Amino acid sequence: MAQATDSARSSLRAPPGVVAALGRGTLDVLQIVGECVSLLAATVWHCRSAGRHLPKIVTQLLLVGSETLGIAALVSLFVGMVMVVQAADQLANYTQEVLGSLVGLAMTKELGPVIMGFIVAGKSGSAVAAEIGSMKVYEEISALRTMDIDPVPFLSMPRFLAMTLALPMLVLYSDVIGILGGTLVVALDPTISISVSQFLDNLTEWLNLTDVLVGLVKGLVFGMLVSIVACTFGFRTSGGAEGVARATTSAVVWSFVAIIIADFVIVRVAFLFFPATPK
Amino acid sequence: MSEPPQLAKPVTIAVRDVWKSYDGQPVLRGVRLEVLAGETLVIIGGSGEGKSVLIRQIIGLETPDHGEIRLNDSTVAEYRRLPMEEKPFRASMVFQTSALLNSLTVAENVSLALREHRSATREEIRGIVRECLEQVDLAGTEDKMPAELSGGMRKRVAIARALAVRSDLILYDEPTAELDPLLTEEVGALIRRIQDRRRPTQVVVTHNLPLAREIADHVAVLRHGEIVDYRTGDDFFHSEHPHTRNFLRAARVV
Repeated sequence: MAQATDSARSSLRAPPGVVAALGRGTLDVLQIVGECVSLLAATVWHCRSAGRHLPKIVTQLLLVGSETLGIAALVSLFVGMVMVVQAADQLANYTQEVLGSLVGLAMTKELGPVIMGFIVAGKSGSAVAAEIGSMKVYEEISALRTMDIDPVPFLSMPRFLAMTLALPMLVLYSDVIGILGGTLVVALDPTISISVSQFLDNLTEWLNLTDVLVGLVKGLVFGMLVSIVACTFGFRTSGGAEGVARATTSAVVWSFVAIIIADFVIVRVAFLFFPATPK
Repeated sequence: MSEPPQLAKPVTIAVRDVWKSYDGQPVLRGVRLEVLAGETLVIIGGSGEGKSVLIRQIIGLETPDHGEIRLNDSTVAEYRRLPMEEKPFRASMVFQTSALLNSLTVAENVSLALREHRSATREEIRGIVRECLEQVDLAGTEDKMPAELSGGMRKRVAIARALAVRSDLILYDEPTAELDPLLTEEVGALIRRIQDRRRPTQVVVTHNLPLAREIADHVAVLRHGEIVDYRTGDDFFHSEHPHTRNFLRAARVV
């Protein structure tokens, strides 16, 4: 009897705990989103003084490039190759003539931007969150404030512009290397029945400038998101080395989620303006 | 013959009934304190008594929950809101961690505020950096990175950074923390030298009594978020206040 009463009590207690945790989690998420939006607005506002901070922007741009070019090439090459191998197998009983358009469209519109977004989030976004987080923990940001140096134009704005400019360039780079990877497999794999020229003809027939532009717009938006999320988590770091580690991990996870959500929104909006028409 | 250094502008500090809590726990409980222009006030207290919290309120990094702090005629908030070029005097803080920017060289750290606010030409900045590093006995370290410096050297670079903007008010948060006795003496002598040279108003937070003996014009003792004893530097070491006596005895000063 007593056991039954205890069990009833604990089951009565459980829902408020779950609801409270859910409420706290929701409030945390809303607070982080609010901080991101607020930092984005302040950073965009300070972009008017970008000329003054040109050396910092160029340094950050070079840093993003040097951190990502190698891994971006490797990943894009293999994604292009895997895509052709998988698609060729699925299309073996139909026609492999559509391989070119499949690889071209998938790389430029979807895989190039998303993969580059993930790589920049993992390499540069995490580095930015860790750097600003350490500066926060070791009072360097407080020191900037005592010198009347606003951390937003000093730290956030150059990183924002660098990533926002770098990502579309990386997307183009990834598109080219991914398509090159697909072409390599078509040329070397004996199970593929089409020639390289058939593959490229099909690709150029279906791929148009709008597809490439949509990919570049995605790169631009992902660059903004990754940099703002990384800076936000850097600025909200507390609690020593452990806090820096937590901020870095959170920045990467939040960037991945933001990229996927933004990807869906951009695709929906792009289809409103450029509906897919059969050729 | 070199020019005599320009004296600092007089800055007084009035701390009036300042309260500050974190997560409902009061850290400062109605602190009242006056700092005279051109003097060096040492705030003594044990760990966790709220010394660092107090100077963070004075420099404007945090805002008191209640009460106000005035720097001359304006509140800290009014002073902080003014753009750099309109500020009637310059205030700086030397942090416990030194807070040097690790990605910048020593010279870039020292000249950071001057470069960001464009308050001097490149040539002038080079001269100011050289002069400030000479004052802290670090001439020739311009191109070193903070990671290449010892703890004492980093502290002195942080002090040079405050000197570079011709600070009229300098706040020091535990300037001798983690330094050995010889380096502590060096930093103490440096603070005294700055005092003799330009007479800025200085507030030093520490629990290091030999340092207090060397530099203090006045000493305030902070305990449980309140100022419990306030005396001239000489009187402090003969104080009859029970907490001060305990503190001095524990530090084997008496």
